[in-house]
Amino acid sequence: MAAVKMKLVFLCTALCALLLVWAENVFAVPSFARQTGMDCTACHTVWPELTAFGRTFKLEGYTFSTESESGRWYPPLAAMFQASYTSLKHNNGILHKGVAPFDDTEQSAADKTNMPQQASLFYAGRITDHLGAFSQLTYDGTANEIALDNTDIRYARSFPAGDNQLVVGATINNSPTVEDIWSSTPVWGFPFASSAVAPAPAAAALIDGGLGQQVGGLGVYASWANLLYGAVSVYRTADHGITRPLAAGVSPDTITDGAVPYWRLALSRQWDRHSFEVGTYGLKADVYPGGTDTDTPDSFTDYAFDAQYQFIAAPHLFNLSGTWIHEDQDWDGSFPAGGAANPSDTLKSFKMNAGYFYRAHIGTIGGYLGYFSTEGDTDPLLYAPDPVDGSRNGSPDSNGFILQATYLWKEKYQFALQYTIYDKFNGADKNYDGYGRDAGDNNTIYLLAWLMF
Amino acid sequence: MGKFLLFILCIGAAIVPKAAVAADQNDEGKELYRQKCVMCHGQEGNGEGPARAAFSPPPTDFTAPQFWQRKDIDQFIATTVKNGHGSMPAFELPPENIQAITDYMTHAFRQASQ
Repeated sequence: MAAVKMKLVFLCTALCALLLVWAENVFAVPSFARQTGMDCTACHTVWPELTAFGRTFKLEGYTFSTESESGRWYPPLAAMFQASYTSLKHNNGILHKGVAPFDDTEQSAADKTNMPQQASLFYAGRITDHLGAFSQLTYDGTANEIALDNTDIRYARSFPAGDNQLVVGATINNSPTVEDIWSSTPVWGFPFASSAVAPAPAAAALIDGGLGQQVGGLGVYASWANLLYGAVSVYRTADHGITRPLAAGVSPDTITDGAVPYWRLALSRQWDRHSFEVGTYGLKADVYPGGTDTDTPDSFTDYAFDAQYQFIAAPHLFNLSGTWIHEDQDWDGSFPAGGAANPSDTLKSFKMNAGYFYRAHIGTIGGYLGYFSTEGDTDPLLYAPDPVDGSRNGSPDSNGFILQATYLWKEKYQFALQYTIYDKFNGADKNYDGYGRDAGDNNTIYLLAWLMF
Repeated sequence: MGKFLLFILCIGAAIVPKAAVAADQNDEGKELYRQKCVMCHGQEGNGEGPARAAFSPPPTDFTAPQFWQRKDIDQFIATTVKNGHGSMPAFELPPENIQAITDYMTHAFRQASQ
């Protein structure tokens, strides 16, 4: 059995190597680059971070196209492959030496080696003159499942507005902030990839990934003079009804009740090689506890502030991003049912990261330094003692640093070494779970190969 | 007569390869411009590319006389291509490619501006 698994690993690795060579010649660039005829560096500093041109490309509905590509008959397809290795400072049997997905499903969820961690097929590009899409179908190697991932279908038009341009558009998407154009909001914020098997802090705001592919929604947005940007969206559960296709392959376990409004407002300024953005965003959602639409839902109100500074002067690239999220949690369903110790709580999170890269002839080299912090009210029922994932003292507080070195080769192949350091995990630095595990025991080394085709 | 013909042949031998090279460079510059610049600045260089409508301020019109009035226009073009400017991205091109684009723009658009 082990020999068969190793043969499969070898076959997978050989296939990746072949794709690296073959794709170089046949599918020379991912679909956006092919559509526009531009290098990846036109839209990205180090993807997925966007440049000013890339932000405009997204605002315009992914429709910029050369004349020859505008009449193409074939769909704008691209592909992605992520392979990773995760190591904990003190493993204590948490992660296994196997290779996901070649283990059985239960083992794969905690295998150190994921090959792939994810493999995705993208439909990404122009559909008509003013309609475009970014849609991702992903195979999850640790769960051994295929499902629709981030999806953003948008229609956009531009109009003269005085001496400037007004871009207006509509988006159908399945994750709040997937439609955003800055790297300071959750979906496109740092870290852009992380371990699928390492222990993670118990608490996070709902807007920080909690509704991804659990809801579907319709939004409208406008951008005036590359100065003022505003967007509003309304989501509903993707568990059933008209929005069900936006969670294809997913069995939503976060079921919202009624409409989920989302808002976004940002001021930005571009001058010479510098760009700066400051903004706010938020949402309000009622969520049924327990993943079923029965009884009384809990209520969450998230409001956040964000900012981004970017300096692009080739060969130097610098980006500074940050976001602060405040969440009011009203446990209207969980508290009476004994799932929460308090009728209401608050949760605050802060993330900031700085990245510097140098574009050399051998590739783009650099890295990130990130800081994260989550603080909230103590609630011993929400955050109960449990080995590895629980909290001894009922506190959700976690904080630490993320250091990442990245090498981008030929603009399409990204290799990263990421180290996450925890000062505090689920409420404490020592014996945080009540079973003797320290926060530092979860310090994680994460090796990633992220290939685009 | 023979010397004259020989003289003409020598001149021709000197001119023709350069003309051929110039034509090649112009073709190269035209192709590079088509690949990298047409999206925003348009085939005619007038800033009316397919992506024009999205940008504030709009892409530069290379057929406008004031664009060519800079004394250091060649260096300005090279620096802007290399470093980008505002929403315009930077392009990773070797110096000879940037020169080819500059030569093409001068050949194709400067006359149109006058």
